[in-house]
Amino acid sequence: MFVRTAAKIAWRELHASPQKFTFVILAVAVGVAALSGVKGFGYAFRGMLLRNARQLIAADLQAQTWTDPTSKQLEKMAAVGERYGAVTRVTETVSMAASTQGRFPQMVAVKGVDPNAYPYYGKLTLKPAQPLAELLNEDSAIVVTPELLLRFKVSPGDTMRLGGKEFHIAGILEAEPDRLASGFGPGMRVMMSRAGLERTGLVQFGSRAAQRFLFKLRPDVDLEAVKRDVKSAIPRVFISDYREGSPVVGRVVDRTSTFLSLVSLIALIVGSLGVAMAMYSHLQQRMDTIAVMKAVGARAGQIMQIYLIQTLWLGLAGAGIGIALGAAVQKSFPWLIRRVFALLPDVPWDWSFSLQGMSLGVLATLLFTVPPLLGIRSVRPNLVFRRNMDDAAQESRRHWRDKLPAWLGAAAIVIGFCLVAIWLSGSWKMGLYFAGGLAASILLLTGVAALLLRAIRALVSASRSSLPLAFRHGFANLYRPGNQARSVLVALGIGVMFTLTTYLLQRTVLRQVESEGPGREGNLFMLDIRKADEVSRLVESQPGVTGKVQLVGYIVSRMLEQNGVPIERLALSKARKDELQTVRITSAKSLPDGLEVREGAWWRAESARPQLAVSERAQRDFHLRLGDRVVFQIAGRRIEAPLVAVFRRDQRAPVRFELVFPLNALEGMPVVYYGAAHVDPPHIPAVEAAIFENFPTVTVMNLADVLTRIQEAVDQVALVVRFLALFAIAAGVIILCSSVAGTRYRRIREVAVLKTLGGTRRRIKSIFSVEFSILGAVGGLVGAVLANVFTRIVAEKFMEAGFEFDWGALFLAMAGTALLANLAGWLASGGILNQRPLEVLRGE
Amino acid sequence: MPAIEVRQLFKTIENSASRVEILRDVSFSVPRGQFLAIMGASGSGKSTLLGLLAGLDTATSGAIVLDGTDITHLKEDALARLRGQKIGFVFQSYQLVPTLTAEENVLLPAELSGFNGQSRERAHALLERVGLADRMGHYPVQLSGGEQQRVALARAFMTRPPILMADEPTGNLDSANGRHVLDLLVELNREESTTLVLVTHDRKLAEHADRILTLGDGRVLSDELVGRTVEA
Ligand SMILES: Nc1ncnc2c1ncn2[C@@H]1O[C@H](COP(=O)(O)OP(=O)(O)O)[C@@H](O)[C@H]1O
Ligand SMILES: [Mg+2]
Repeated sequence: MFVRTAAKIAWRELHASPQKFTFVILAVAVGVAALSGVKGFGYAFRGMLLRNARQLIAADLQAQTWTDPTSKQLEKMAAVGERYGAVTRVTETVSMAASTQGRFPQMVAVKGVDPNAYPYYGKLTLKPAQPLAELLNEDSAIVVTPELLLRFKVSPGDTMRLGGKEFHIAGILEAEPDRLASGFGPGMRVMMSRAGLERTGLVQFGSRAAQRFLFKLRPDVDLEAVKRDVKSAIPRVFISDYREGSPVVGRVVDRTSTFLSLVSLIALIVGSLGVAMAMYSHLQQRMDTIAVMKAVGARAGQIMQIYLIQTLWLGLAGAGIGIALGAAVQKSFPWLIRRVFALLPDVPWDWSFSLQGMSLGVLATLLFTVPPLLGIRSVRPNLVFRRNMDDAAQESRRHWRDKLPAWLGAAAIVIGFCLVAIWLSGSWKMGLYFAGGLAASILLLTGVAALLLRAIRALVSASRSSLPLAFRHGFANLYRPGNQARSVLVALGIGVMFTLTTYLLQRTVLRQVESEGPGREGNLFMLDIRKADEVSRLVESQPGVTGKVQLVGYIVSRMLEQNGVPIERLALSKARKDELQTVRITSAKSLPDGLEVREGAWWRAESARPQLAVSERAQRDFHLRLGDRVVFQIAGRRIEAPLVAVFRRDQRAPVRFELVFPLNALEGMPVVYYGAAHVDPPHIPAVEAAIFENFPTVTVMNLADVLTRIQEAVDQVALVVRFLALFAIAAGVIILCSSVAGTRYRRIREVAVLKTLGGTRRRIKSIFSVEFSILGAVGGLVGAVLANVFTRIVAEKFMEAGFEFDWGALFLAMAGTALLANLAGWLASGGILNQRPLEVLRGE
Repeated sequence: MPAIEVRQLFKTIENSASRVEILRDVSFSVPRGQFLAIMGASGSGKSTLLGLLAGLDTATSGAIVLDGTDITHLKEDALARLRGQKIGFVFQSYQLVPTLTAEENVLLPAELSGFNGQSRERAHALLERVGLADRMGHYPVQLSGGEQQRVALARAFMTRPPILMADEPTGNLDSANGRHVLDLLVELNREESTTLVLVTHDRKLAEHADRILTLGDGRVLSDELVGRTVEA
């Protein structure tokens, strides 16, 4: 068998130049690390969710709705609970709260439970360590999170005010199993009994509260039967059970890990690009050996075996190291997303993705080595008779390019990575989009890099004589044979592009939120307002408040009929019909700012007759025509309204008007208002306090807090993406190292020649530094330009935001990458300056 | 003051396994303007000796004085600077920098040592002198072996070094090209009146020299002025 001989030869070659191959291995490792880390974390997280599924919803099954259930529905639900085991209701909402010592209110999450039943699964960690029922034995008792104690500067025993009532802090709530189940965020939380929640008066018709029915089921119960009965008790509930884990959290994790694994795939592709490049230059240097082998009778297939085995080993070694690194990535992930998932149980280390990561690493390596390997076939034995191997390499390179195998290889790469992307994302469309986008970026980058290199060359040869030596020589070195300047540029460029794009997008989002977001309407937002006129009057009378307070009212309703036809029988999709179960009707007197009537006419401001205006979108979605008679159920009443106007909404209108009723037509109904006021910032706390004093159930947020929250969310996402994009940069740097290490022999000889001709080490150093700096700066330039272009496209197409070319970021990217390239270059050429010239030049 | 003075030079190479004495007690001195040929069988230590003379390596013991400067204890960069001023070097395998054109290769020593004056004119004159006036913009790969070695010659004379050293400069060339390069070397040497140390194992080439030093097994076997013999 030739395989053993091939393996032996392959091993000997690996052994002979360990440095070069170390970098190849690292390049693969970086890619595999990012991918297996992300995917592994996703798997581990999913597994954890499943294992702890009962704890995470604190029940066997939960049914959630966002509307206040009627008493009849509650009765039915209780009956279902009785039939299959037990049921308890948990209600969660937000509210303003203040301590009795401090005047200034802050927003907290409020959760009302039945302390005798909740939780069915999982454990509450309370201080003092008493049962919840004992701590919440009165309806004025609450337990609160440590963060709340800290922010309000209160301690157990102190009194808090919520919804105009006083509550005493009976204990500290350190952990609750189902905290993520309803989607209310981490931070300041209050738990009280259901009776306590009644007392606050926070939850009324139309309030934004999550209602969760938790079921503890007898072991022999059929889950499907329970679900059926739950659905018939309350039609539109969202049901999840212990077999699914927490579906909401699970879906978020799935989507996040899919997105992030695609980002990591970029690192893997950049890494494998490095492998291809290293193998390519390795093969070029081996051209004479290959020619000799052919001259003594080796067949192309046999030689390809040698290098295939070599590649396989490199891939395996890289993937192996990558998985170990990936474990570290996986470990660091909980830390990266700690703000969101702070209180989840530990995510254990999961091996499940390691094997897949390993095969991906090897596959990627092999794919990218196909074209150079196929090139072996066209090496002609007569190369042996050439003196100058540079010539030979050059000629055969030209040869390779023109050959079909190269194209076949390229096709294999593209198809291979498409499949990988499809597999990773679990969706044909997404995988293809991703692969297409990436292929386009790489092509674009390659093109730009090639153009830039050519431009530099032309520029330098035109102005050659006037440049200082170090520059001239450094520039010239870029075109050194075996110096994969273009690939290095592409690799660095991709890394920079992704890192910078996330940064620029992050900034664009924040800037857009600041300039065009809610800030235009005012800087103090009020929600859950019932008495609109009184609240407006109070706020307008406060010092520091300028202008009028604009409040918009809405009410949640159900659409019942169109022109006498019940919704169920309309030719609408299931999803649309579902939407019609809870439609938000907004109220307005005259035509609001930002709306433009396209059909029909708006009503008179004082009109109290029920009539309807809809947006073009709603008209399209629900197939409505002017004059249609639409019947709604609003607060238990049937109301029929003709469609009188269709409007177009300015994209930047602050309020999402879809279905609009005359304000006066909703007179006497439980309309909830929201709106904003312009307040001189120093006066904000006082205004907040005044609102809290008089209208304790009104939720108040100020712009600065909202912006901070948005910023935190955006930063969180950007941090993770950037963390992974860094792997792509790392792969780029490793490729640079590998390219430098691959030309080490040439460099050493050059240093020796320069020393012989009188060059001091400093002189020589500056020559190489220029070379590395140019590579880095150009890589940074290409990446930064593309990042700016991409950000601009995304900003204009998807965010309707303006974007200015960011010169600062461009220069920073260039300088940073140049520095990085120098570090990498010198790391990879370690020791070459200290060789004695004679050692090198002898025996030539 | 002689151009080169060598006193009791030893070069021993030791690695874990073995100890090789490459040069043993070599002493001689070369007056200014002399053309010295160093001969000897392959492996006799010629290249090692020449390398030590040019400060490309350090001796185990003994002293080398170049143009009045004792280079034995000079640091690496000081040696480089000294080479830039005093020594031109021609290698058997040309050693042109592949990324630079012929002209730039010739200019290189001047630029490295901060030589100013009419360097470009001199580079052109030298390239013309070696018959490559029309190849100045060519890269080494575009030149034949003989042409590359002629560029290397021009480069060696670029900074007007007082001493020129050549290690088998015709070793890689066929006889016609070798002849041409050697003639050029000798002529340039005369024109620039440099001291020339030429390593060769070709008796015929050595006969152009004023003096022939023969090495054998790391020792000086004989030292003869052409025409009359001097005891070693
Ligand atoms: N680094 C080294 N390690 C071991 N032996 C060496 C080393 N360098 C040179 N030699 C040996 O020293 C001897 C002289 O070499 P060299 O000066 O190149 O001879 P020449 O130029 O006369 O052919 C040779 O036998 C060679 O093998
Ligand atoms: Mg020799």
